[in-house]
Amino acid sequence: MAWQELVTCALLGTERQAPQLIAGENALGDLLTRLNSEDREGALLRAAGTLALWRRAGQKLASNPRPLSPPCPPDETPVCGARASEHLTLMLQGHYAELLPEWLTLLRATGRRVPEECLPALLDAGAKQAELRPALLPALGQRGRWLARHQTAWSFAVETDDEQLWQTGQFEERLALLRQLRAIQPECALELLTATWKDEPVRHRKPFLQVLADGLSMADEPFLETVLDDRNAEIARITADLLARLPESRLAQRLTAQALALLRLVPGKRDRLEVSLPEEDATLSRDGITGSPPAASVKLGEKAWRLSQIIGAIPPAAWQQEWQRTPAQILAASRDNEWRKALLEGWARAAERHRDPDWAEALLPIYSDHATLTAALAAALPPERLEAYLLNLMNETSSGGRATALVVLSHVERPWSVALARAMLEQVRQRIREDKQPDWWLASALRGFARWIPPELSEEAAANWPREAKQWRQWEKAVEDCLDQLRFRRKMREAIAE
Amino acid sequence: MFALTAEQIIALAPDDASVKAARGLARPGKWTALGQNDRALWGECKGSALYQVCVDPAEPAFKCTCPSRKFPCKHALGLLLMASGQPETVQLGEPPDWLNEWLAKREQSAKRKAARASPDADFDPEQQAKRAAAKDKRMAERQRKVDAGLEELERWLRDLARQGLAHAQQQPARYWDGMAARLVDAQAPGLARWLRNLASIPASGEGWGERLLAELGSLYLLLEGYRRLESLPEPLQADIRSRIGWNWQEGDLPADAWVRDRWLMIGQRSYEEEQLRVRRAWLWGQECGRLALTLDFAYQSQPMPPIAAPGTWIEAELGFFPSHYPQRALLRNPVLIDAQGRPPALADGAALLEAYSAALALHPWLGILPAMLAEVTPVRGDADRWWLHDSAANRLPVNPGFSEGWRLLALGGGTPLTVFGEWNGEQFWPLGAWVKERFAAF
Repeated sequence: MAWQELVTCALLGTERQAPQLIAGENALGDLLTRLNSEDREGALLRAAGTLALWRRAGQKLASNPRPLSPPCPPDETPVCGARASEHLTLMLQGHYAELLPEWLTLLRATGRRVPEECLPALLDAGAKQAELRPALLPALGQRGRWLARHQTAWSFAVETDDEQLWQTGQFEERLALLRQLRAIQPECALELLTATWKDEPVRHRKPFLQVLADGLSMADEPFLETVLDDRNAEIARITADLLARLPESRLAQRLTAQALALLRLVPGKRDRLEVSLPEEDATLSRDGITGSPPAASVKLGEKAWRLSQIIGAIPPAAWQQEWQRTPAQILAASRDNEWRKALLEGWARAAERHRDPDWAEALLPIYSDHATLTAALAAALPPERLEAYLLNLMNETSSGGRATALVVLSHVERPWSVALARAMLEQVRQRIREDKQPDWWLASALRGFARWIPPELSEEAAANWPREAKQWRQWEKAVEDCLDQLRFRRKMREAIAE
Repeated sequence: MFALTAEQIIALAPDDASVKAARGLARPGKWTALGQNDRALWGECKGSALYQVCVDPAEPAFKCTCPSRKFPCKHALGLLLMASGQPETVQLGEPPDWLNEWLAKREQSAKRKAARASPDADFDPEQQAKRAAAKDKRMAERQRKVDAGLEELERWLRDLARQGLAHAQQQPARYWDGMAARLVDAQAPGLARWLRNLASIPASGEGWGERLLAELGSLYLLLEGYRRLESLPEPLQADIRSRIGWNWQEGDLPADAWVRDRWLMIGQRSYEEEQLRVRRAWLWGQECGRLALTLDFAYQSQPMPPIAAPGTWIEAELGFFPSHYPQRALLRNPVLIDAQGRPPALADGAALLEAYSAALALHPWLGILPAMLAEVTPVRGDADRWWLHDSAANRLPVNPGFSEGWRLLALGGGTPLTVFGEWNGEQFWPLGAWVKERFAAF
């Protein structure tokens, strides 16, 4: 063909070879024959320009090498509105990203779906941050799951055969599967784990076991009782901890019997407690009760530590039942006891572990200056009791109590009531008015608070800040960030409802 | 009256840092004297000093008294974001004096511009003659330089042909860059760019020889065309001069080059060339049915002039550069409006190639053909290459520089889409797509 000859000639150069113009019997041929072949360079370049243009204008397309893969079945679900999709785009670009799960949950409630062109960015986000997936997966819709099948990084969004994935998957995939399954069908998760437990390496056993903490029930007890004998101390300890949360487990029964034997209530005008300390014992060790405190900060002797652990393991309601006294009365009876510290720590641990609101409420005043323990105890209260407790604490005159209230509040990661949010905002305003330096944790927690304040308060929340206070400049950014998030949440809700 | 969305406002920002800063400023607490009327938004922003900020969202145009060299600055963007996100904070009101001054100044300069554009303007004839003479002198000077540059380029091309492409492949980068630099000096920037693009072909793998030869041949034909420019039809003369690097200024365009219409901003693409950032924007006229290309340039750190976001409509005049296949245009007096519609689409890939060869017949050095394609399905091929499969079971390669293949696939869900984009003769670059009535930009 003329073009290939010409390319060969051009590669060598016209000083080695004159261009051979092979002209066909057509208009192009006529044109090429008219080129002056004595001017070798000119003829080569002119012919090249002409032929290249001719080829460019006359090119044909290649046909499809294989048939198209099946398209996504049509989805009749309506797409969310333009403003809502604008918000989603902003969040996927990293602005207000922490509000993405809330947006996805809200969207789901409206019965609409994510705009298609946002799906790749959403899938990328889910591939990078596993913690987004619970909110993200239901929002993907048919189109999102269809799309995910085209890219390996998005495989987390593809429906799989659980059994097969559990048998052959990577550790992270298996862990994610176990968590997912545990949340919806706890007994299936247990079944999977039991089947392969013997072959799991020790480093995987620990995280798998911890998954069982969610949805724990007596159905798990027989399996866990056998795991108590695991040679790895850490695994045995986790197992004992899980079993202790089940009041009806054999472990809890054993420890309850032990505990009741150790403590005796002597009734009187003022009740008192008689305590005997537990000795070392192989059964106790098997049930996770150790002789040496794990950290030096626990200032208890060996036996007192054992006592504290036993009390901490069993359901605290056992004491009310045994002695027919309220938690407050029992705490009062322990007042002058030599082992009070061990007792209190045990009960606090038990109230937290068994989420016993009566015990938590009785213990909270004792620990009101101990913010982290307070937060742990507060978590045992149902929402309305927690709220009453916090509002009460914030109205206290002692600044220690008010500070504790803010710490506890920072652990309450669920929507707050209007009254609670108002009280919190007033607390922060008060701290600024009092010329307090921004507490570093409070300044950073404020931004997070915006997630739990009812969005309808956004306008009210923006008012009445002591902008003239000496410390205002130090607080300004944190406060404005919080208000900005809150405003965005309100907009986001309005837009999604459109 | 205020209709920009947060996304469109963010598209106006010169960089991400500005968006972040602007977001921090989009809070009522930062502002005093906020207000808007039917022409502008204004406010005073507390920064390290008090800055007066005004924005005309229709154009959009910005003014701020802050010292920032970014444009639009964070204060102007912050004001827009606040007006968009919390319209209740920017109430209708009486504009302050400084805003009226700004508006008056803009009106004046618009008038001056209009006066310069119209030859009937009440100018001192002597002054005008002087100006015309100076311009003629500059043009003659440039003509001389270009002629000399082109002669040198022709010699260089003939040397290359004599010694062979294989010999050229052995040459260092300065072999190409040197010639390109001499063309810059000769005030033929179009050819200089062409030469620089050629430099990468010898190292581009299999088939480099024929790709290079095709380009050299096309370049040589351009030089031949230029040598006998007078004998060619006028629009083709303009095309050859444009390719060499002559540009049109607003004032030089003939009056009938201007087309007033409602234009859909249908696609945009930004990229870097040498030290320059280039933004291409395609507009489609609802009445005239024409597709127009506007180009904007900015040096690295400098701001791009603001532009309407893809998918929005403007009413404006576009001045088309004279050409056998008019495409490049200058934009004048744009105002954001509401409108509906979209260009008709070509039925398949074969229709695209047919349109392309018809365009080449008019303008043999045409770089890019903008096109609407009906019924194409994005498909991911081997090695992460994307293709558009058409309704006649043929496929068009997507430009490897296009990075939004996944979004395109998600949009269609494996079903055919209507896509707008650029065809460069070998590959397609999607810039926008429609699913039913919904438009998405890429």
